[in-house]
Amino acid sequence: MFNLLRNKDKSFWKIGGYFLVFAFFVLALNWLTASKTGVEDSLEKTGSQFAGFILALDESKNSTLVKNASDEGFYVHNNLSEPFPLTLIEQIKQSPYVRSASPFLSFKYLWQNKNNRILQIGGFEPKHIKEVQSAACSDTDLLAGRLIAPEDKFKILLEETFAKTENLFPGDYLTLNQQVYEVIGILSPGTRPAKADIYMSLDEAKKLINSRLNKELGEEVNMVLVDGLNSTVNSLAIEDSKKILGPQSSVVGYGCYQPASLAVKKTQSITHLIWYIVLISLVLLMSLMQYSSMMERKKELGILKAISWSDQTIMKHLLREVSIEALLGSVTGSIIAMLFLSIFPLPISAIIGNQSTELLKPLILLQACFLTWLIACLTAWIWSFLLLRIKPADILRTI
Amino acid sequence: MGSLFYAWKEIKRRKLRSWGIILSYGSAVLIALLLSISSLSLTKEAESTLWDIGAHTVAYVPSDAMQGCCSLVVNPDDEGFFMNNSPTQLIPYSLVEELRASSNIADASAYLLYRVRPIPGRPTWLIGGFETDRPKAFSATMAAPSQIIQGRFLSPGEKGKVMVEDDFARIHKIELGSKLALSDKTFEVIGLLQAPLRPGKANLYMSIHDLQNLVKMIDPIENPINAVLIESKGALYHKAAHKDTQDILSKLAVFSSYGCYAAGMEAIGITRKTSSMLFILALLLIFGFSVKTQSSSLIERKRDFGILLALAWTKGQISKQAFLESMILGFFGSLLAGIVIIILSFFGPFQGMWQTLPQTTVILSFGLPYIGSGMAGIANLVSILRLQSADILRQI
Repeated sequence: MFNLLRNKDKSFWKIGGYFLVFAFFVLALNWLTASKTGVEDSLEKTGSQFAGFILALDESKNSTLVKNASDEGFYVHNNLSEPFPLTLIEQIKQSPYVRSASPFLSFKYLWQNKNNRILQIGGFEPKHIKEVQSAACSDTDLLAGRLIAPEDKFKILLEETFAKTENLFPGDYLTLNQQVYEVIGILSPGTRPAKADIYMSLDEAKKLINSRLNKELGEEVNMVLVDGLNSTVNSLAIEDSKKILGPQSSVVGYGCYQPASLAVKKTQSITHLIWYIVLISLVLLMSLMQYSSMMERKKELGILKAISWSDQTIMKHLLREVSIEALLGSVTGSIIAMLFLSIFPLPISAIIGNQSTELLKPLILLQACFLTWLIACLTAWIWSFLLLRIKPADILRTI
Repeated sequence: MGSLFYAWKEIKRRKLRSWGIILSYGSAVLIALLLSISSLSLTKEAESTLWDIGAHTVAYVPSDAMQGCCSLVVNPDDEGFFMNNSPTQLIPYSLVEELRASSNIADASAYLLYRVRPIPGRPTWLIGGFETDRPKAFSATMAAPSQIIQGRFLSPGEKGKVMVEDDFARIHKIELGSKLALSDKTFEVIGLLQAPLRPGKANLYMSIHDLQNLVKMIDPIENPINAVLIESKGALYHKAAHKDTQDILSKLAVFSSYGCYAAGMEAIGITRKTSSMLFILALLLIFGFSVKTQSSSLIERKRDFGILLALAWTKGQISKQAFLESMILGFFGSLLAGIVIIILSFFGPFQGMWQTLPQTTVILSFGLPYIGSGMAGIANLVSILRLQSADILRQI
């Protein structure tokens, strides 16, 4: 401490050096982590939803099951499918690569109005709206009105194109098979694995569909909406689902999980590379600071050795000095960071567009202070160890 | 010349100190350049992977219920212009050309999605007719050659051939080489496709001209189309592309597109901002470390300056020598960093990246140490040289 006070200018710049390196380290680490988690959060679930179904390879089955097989049936994207038991969905849910799986009914229905229009009816479980939001419809797709709540009875949602062509709006009524349904929302879901003109609750869809069948549906549906665990393992979730649904199965899903998972992997590997660069920079800069400091104090060390100070004592003094400098630099940095955060409540990571990850917290700053101190001491120990191996006469002779 | 000589002499006299300063400058420049290179590659990789994620659209104009789609065709009970299971209006081809001129659209192509019932009393089929010479527009909105699982993709200008979606082919027992009778024409199946979910999804795909010849209209029109396949310039341009499309097609135009462009845009935004912040941080580090290195060095040499003043050197001579010394050391530091970077750019993750660095980054990375050390040098020298030689020597 005495030495620090004796050379105030020198000490100021040394402490300033530690402060600079500490600030660089903490900020770089904070932004890198926030960037990595931000990209992961944005892309983790991107495109990892798909719909599974069983193709009806025997068309005669549909003719037996459906009253008007030429226009109606269990169609998925204009491909005929077969109903399957709900137990298969329970099995799909067990896959480690599946976040959730939900039943869906997709049926082509001949609407006998003035134009005899063929409608696509979609039935989903309103209580599982979160699970079907990316594969079928969600509140973000709403153009008008609201979504179906679990307690709603005979309420329907219309797809934008269908609503436009039929001039229907929330509050209007639509009759299907002598049952009046109230339109409560208009949706624009875009391209989705489970697409319909009219969305209704699974139970009501089943009731409506049963009226068009020769044999009523049991505990069956013709589609499963699967939410994969993440974009990276989505292909495994597809594989598992197809295995469970059997050899006639097929899936329809987005292709964007592939670039999303690739981008996550690339971001992770480059972020790790930058982490290493930052860490190596920290060690390198501190090592150079110690080197310059030791070289400047070579004469001083030579004199101390000449007046019979032991290497151990000199080392102890040097390390104490470096410890105080490093701690003063990093603690000053931490105090400034905390002051900054208390004045500006927005997290530093918000600058890069991800507010959810903020590393500038007391515990993290404490860890960074410890790391700064540790590296400073280690590098100081190495340089002083090398320097103290030289005989005092040799040290003094080279000055 | 004399100052340069003594500056060089001083550098040589205190080799270890000089090496310390050279390495400090060099390390700061090296760290800044490495950080710039890797953070640039973070952005580039994210952009190259996510650039066009979800930026694919099919635009169409729904038909009014009163007008109907099918009143235009001879057999409205079984045929019609459909998109998303709804009847659509026809779009003049000239609007597709207008869309192509939009600065937010990479390519636009005419599309005809037609519903037919090939066998009376049997289900309807959806046929997609596309411009076979516009792969940029159809690859991500309809199907791409890479999604062929058997056979081959339709070549530009090819007639009388169709490609069939695999699921549809399995249900209808259609095989490669099968002949499909549609209306009064026969088409050969040349490819089976397994495409992921696409906004322009159909059961069969053929050239738009073949499909237009199949359409039997009450009042035939030239080149009927009912949708446009649009490839936006990128995820960042997707919204603007939709706006342009709406302006050109109709306010009633409906888009069938993906939601994942928003996630892609967010990820690109985050990596871009991270890259900029890391670069600024690296520049601040170079500047700060140069100031620190130069200041520490000058303070350590306070006694030397006192002696030189006592030996009747002028303040100008001392300043000039100290300045030249720092420039020479800075030059060697930068040179060292440049050499290391060039060597690194032949290996591992930094391979070839040196060439991709923007000029401004290089100029700032190499220039900032000089500015930092120059500024620190002037400030410290002014404060040191304001003292009398006796005062300086007395302080030591």
